[in-house]
Amino acid sequence: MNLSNIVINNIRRRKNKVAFLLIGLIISTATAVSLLVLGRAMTEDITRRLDEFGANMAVVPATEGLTLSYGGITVSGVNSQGRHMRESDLENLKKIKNAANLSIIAPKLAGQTSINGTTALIAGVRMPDEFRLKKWWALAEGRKPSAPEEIILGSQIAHTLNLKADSVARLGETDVVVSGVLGEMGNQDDGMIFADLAFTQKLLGKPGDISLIEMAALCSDCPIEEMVKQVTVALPGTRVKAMKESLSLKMSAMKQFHSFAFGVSVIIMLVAGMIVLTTMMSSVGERKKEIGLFRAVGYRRSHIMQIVLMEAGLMGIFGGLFGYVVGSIVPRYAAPYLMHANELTFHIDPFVGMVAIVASAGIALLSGVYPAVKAAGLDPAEALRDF
Amino acid sequence: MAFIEVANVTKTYQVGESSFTALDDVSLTIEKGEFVAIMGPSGSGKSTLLTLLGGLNRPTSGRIVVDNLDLGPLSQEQLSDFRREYLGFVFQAFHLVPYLTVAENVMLPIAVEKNMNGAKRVRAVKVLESVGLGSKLDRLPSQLSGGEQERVAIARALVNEPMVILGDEPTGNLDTKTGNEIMAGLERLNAAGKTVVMVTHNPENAARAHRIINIRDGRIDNAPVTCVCV
Repeated sequence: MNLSNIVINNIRRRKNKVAFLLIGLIISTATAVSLLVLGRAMTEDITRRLDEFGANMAVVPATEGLTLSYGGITVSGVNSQGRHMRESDLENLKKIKNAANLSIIAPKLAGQTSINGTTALIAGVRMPDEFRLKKWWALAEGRKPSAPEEIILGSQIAHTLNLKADSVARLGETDVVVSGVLGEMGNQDDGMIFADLAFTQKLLGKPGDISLIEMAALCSDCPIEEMVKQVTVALPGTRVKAMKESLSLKMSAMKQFHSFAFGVSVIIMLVAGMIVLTTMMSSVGERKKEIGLFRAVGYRRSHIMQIVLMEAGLMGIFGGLFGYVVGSIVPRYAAPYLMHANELTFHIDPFVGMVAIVASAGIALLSGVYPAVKAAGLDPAEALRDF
Repeated sequence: MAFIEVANVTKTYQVGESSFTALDDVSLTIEKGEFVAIMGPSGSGKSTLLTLLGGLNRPTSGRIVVDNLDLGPLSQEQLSDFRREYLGFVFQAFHLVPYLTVAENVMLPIAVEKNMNGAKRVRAVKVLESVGLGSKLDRLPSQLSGGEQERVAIARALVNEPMVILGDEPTGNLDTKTGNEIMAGLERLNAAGKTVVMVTHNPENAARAHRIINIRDGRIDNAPVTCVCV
């Protein structure tokens, strides 16, 4: 028998009050954990989507000359005789410090050619990389090219030239097969021809040349500015552009969400603290005689404080533990309904659990200090009254 | 020097702007091993005297010395230690903790000691057996009769092996037969060397003490002092 037995038995006895207190702590902790878990999942989701959807870095030659705007990137030197980047330069990209963050490297050679006698823009690409990079590409008809002499067309040019999947077209001096036609996207891809890179190099008479490298860097945690510097050093004579605007915007929105979530969590935990305070105060009032008895049989004030604080701390620990469990589970089921977010990935994070338990116990303890001091300060003779 | 010495003790309570003197210049001594009954009408100050002897209250003036220990200069925490080491309280209302078992209630005064839990339980069981409750260790107070509850309260008062037992109407809530049993128990404790100071309204119980101290209007009434036996 020690003080903890008194605490545990008292908790067992006052089931209703304890349940009220515990539910308050569980709801508070669960809300804070839910917001944290949801914020993390949303950040990860946005980052993953940004990483998956399109390039976030592009490399173009630094030379002056005619330019072509492609996918929001100004590609210079399209018609100039200045320096073109070489396909062999790609090897240098694999040597940069953050090479592991480069998930997709998609080199392109852009230029003008004629298709069935009409001048059009052509982009020589590595088809598999291009389809990986542009996940929004969907073939309205046909299939992906499987041979160098197979091309795909943007929807607008296919319509203009009346070309369909499996049509044969005259590209420059070569007959090619239109393997597929892309669905309308409302950008310059609609008016372009996409062909195999090596085939295009040969067609344009620029073997080994490339005019643009688009890259998808998995940048949830990598320093994009640092990678820009590394690529600039690896590819001298080029300009490297980081397309981080959308990332920054979304990350800034996420930061606002995190700040909001933090603010809400703090308020909720303060409310939890108030619940603990009022419940413990009422508990001390109810147990006045009991406390008087403890003092009469020789308990020091510090012993009384220990009893009250141990009770508050124990409630806090259990509130934090169950709150963490509830807060980790609820977003999984609530997110699809509340936020129409079906693809969020939630992790079980023991660190969050630890923080939840420590925070809940800390708040419960802090809120228990005043009732504990009050209890310890009770006049034992007055508390027993009928002594 | 007497084992317990109360010298010129006055206790005044402040109630709003007026004050009320519960004890007025009371002096008395109690010898070690004595069985003393304190009698007096309600509001005479007898319970106040008991709280002062038990260190639960401090006198407004005067001095209380127990076993050469002056209670006046002791801090609140030291007074707690004094109560734990010297005193055993038996209350009229028993004051058993409802959510603790019989054994746990008895272990209350020693729960704060650093001894092993097993050793504490052995002590509690021994004391409970001595009051005839060895078979009801794990019952809750609500499962006991009034007499049994009072015996648990006595066992709790004895578990820390105190020198002094302070009783506040220990038979006040009991029928005559059970009250007699409790009084016999207190007599046995006294015979075993404990000093017993008991507040009572019951003249028959008071008559079983070595000495009766009458209190009236906060002062010791010297007229009818009864010495039953020494």
